[in-house]
Amino acid sequence: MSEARNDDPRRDGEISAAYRTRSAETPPAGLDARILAAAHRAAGGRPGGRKHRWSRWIDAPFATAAVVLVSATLIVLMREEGMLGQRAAKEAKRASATQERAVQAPVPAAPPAVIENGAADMSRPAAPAEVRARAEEETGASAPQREPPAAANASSSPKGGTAVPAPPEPQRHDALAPATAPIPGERAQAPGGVSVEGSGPMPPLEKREAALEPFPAEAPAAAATIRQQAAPPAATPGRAAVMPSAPDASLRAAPAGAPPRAAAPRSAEVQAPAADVEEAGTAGKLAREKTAGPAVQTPEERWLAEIRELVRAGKFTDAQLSLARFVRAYPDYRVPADIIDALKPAD
Amino acid sequence: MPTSATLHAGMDESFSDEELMLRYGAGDAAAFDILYARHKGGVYRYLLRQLREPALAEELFQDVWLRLVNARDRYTVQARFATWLYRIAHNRLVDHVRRRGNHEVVSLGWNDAEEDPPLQIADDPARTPEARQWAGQQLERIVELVEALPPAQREAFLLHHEADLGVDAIAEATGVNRETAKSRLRYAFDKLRRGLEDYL
Repeated sequence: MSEARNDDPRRDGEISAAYRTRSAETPPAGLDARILAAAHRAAGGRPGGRKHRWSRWIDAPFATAAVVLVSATLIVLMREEGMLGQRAAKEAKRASATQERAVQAPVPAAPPAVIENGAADMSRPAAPAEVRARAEEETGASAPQREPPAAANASSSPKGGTAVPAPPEPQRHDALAPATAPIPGERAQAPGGVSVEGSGPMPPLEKREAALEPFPAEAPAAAATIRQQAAPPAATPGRAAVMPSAPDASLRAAPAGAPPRAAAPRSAEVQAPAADVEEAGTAGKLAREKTAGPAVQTPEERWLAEIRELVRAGKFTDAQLSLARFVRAYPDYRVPADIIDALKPAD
Repeated sequence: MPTSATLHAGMDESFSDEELMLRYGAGDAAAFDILYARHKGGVYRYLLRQLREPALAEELFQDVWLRLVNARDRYTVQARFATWLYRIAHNRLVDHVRRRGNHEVVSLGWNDAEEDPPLQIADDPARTPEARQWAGQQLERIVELVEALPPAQREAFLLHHEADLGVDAIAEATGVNRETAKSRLRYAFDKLRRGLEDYL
């Protein structure tokens, strides 16, 4: 249009007001009645009437089948768990018997056990890098080691019919188990060495964990699979991956330097890397926070995230209603396509 | 979720159109009553101004609402309910115009006319009190002026006033981009302003 436009909100407002006051036609009452009657008739059959009638036929058998299936699965799982628990208990008994024998052996035998368990290198002052590497190895190994007790405890549930013996007294001696237990591998050796040296004070929890470590180390793969579901994702290589178990490492390393019999420099060396690891843990935590970033920032995004949660939880009606309120609150906000798609009814 | 009884208990204002439509989709007929009461006038006038035939407007009006009723199961909140409703009305109107072929409705044209003739209105430049009274009477003709707008501009104006849609929603309801919707609305206001400039 070639004419110059002359925007004038006041006059636009007058035009709007003039139009609104003079435009008041409504449909005839008869038409209203017809439309309302049709709408009520349609709603009378409930929404998605076809679906409802169909679902009435299918609902009961489907629900029954689902209940049976879930029950059977649970029973099988519980039986398996019980069997695992029994086996774990047997292994525990066997291991504790072995440990008892080891404890009854002369005391001076302990230091050689430490040496045998890969701690021989520690008799000489190790380079900080070596110690750090060792600490990483330990912490890397200790991550799964913390989990087995949970599995062992889980297997001691009444359903399992067995209880993992948790003798209070032999616990400290149980720490010797890796040295004498038939289970090879770093996982058992690393804490074993540290624990034997650590004849100083040890936190009760730590003692309990150390005592229980050997048993689950032998736990069957099935138990491990079950545990994996509850466990956090496996650590990735690198220092950041060490982070979650860093406090563990420092806890274990600290007593190592405590005994007066142990060389003082070694204590310092071991503790220093532990501090490094802790530091790395904090840095890694910060790095993770940075990479994760604030997922949701604005109120709109937070609200949409809640709607997504509802969708994920299968609460589609709630999600729809929440979205309706959202649209009312933010009429100009473009609703993300993923939410629209998720709430779109399947044809 | 409140029951129909609750809805009837004067709480209709607390529910958005979208919530009401979802409730209607869930079988709550009372929700439809409220929705219909809220929008029947706007939709009716939107059609009436576009078609200028009450009988035809009533026919399409009924059709629009029945389409909504039939679509209740498939309704999902994607934008404002009014945008969705008026998109149905717009599509129904376009279908009708196309089906009617050479009928006079087609003469309304459905494209933007860049060189629209200015609206003609009885001219009395006098600014006497009598003239102002006369101008007030002329304002009564605003409806006629609106009906005289080019169809696309008229539609934008009607969607803005009857459905209370903003530029974005008008664009969405009519299937054009934002700038087109904005210019249509602006042209409509310009024309009406010029048509009434002696009386405003």
